Order: sequence, then C-alpha cells, then structure tokens
Amino acid sequence: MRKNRFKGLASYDGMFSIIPILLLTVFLLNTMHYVLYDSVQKVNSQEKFNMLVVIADYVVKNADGGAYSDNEKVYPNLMEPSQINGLEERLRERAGMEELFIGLESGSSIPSDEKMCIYRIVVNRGTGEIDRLFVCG
Amino acid sequence: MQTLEAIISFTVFMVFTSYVLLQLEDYNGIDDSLYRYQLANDVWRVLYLKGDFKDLSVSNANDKIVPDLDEIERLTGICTYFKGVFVTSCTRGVDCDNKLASISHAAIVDGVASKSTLSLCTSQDY
Repeated sequence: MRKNRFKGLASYDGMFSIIPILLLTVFLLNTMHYVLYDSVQKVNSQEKFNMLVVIADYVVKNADGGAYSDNEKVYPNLMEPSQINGLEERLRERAGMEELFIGLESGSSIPSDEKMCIYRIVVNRGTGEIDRLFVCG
Repeated sequence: MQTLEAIISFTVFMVFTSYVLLQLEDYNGIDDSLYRYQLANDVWRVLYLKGDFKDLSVSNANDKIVPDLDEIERLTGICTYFKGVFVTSCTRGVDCDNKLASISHAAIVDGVASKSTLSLCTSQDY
C-alpha cells in the first residue's frame, strides 16, 4: 500500500488556515454585537428624548399642564408655578416612564446629571421674569 | 509571497471594517430638529409675553428686545438673530452661519406688518 507523503503537511496547512478564519469570525461577531447593542441604546435614547419633548410641549401649551389660562383662553409659555406641582406624578403614569421631573429652574432644583433633561424657555407668571422649564427623566 | 498576500488581505479587511464603523458613528446623535423649532417658537412667545412687540419700531427695537434676548442667551447659551428688525443678541457677527432653527412670523414694525425671521444660533459659533 502506498503511503501519502503529504498528509502531515496538509494537516498543518489546514490548521493554520482555520486559526485566522476563527479569529476573523470572533472579531465579526464582536463587531456585530457592538453594533446591535449600540443601535438599541440609540433607539432607547431617541424614544426617551421624544417622550420628554412631547411632555414639555404639553406642559408649556396646555391649561391642564402648566400654562396659565384665563376664561378658557390659554397663554402658551406663560407658566403658573402652582400648576406644575403634582404634574410629574400624573404625567409619569400616563407616559409610562419610571421617573419624571418637571419644574421651573428658579423654583426647583434640577436632578442629577445622570438624567436626560430638556429645557423650554418660558415666562414665570409669579415673577414676570424669563425662566427655564426643565423636564427630566 | 503568501505572507505578503495575507498582510494585504488583512489590511484591506481592517480598512473596510474601520470605514463601516466610522459610518455608523456618524448617526450617533439624537435627532432634535423638532425640539429646536420649539425653542425658536419659545423665544418668539416669550418676547411677545414680555411685551417686546408692542409699539415696535426700528429705532427702539434694540432697547426693547435685546435685554430679553441677552437674558435668554444667559439661560440657554443660545443667541438669537432677528432678520427684519435687525436685532441680535449674538455678540460677534451680524448673522449666524450655523443656524439651529429659523422661523418666520409677522411683526408690526413702525405700524406696518412685516415678515421677520428669527434664527437661533449657538453662542460658540461666534
């Protein structure tokens, strides 16, 4: 029976080609994992930001929010500070958010930096001065 | 020769991967275009509520509007340029190159209704 003189060489050749293929596969899988995780994070951030924008707009423009109203006439951007109290709890449940902080910068303290916050420019009806409304979540 | 081929293939692969990853990074930011227009409308509404558009004329526009625009800039870091009444809180330059948002409204200047464009710009652009 005739022996194959190249058998050992072919095994080494195969082994050395499998290693880079495996390394590349691991690298590609890691990259895909990073890309997918990053995409999910971005979508979550965008959803949260959109929700905060909608809530802030509701608070600024509606009498049920924080806008001052007189005889059913609503004044958008003119904020009644007393109306904002208790608004967080009501809107948090309706928006399905875990945390929600709403307030005027002159009267409340803004939550820690870890929260995502958006700001709207308003007039504080109590003081008559320009103020910032913050909505954080 | 095979080593050279392997090096070239690996280099091309890494360049391609880096290019794809860099392209992904370009879409990293949050889309806040609607929010920026809301801010521009906020500035307009706040100036209206403060009575800055009452008896507005080209000669008194700076005295009436600029103090409030300065206050808004102090609070938000956003400066405002008014095309039409030629008022700006932006300290350097007259118009801004990198606008965050622009909206147009009618304003009565010197008793005549005219179109005025309000542009928001970041202060550091100047």
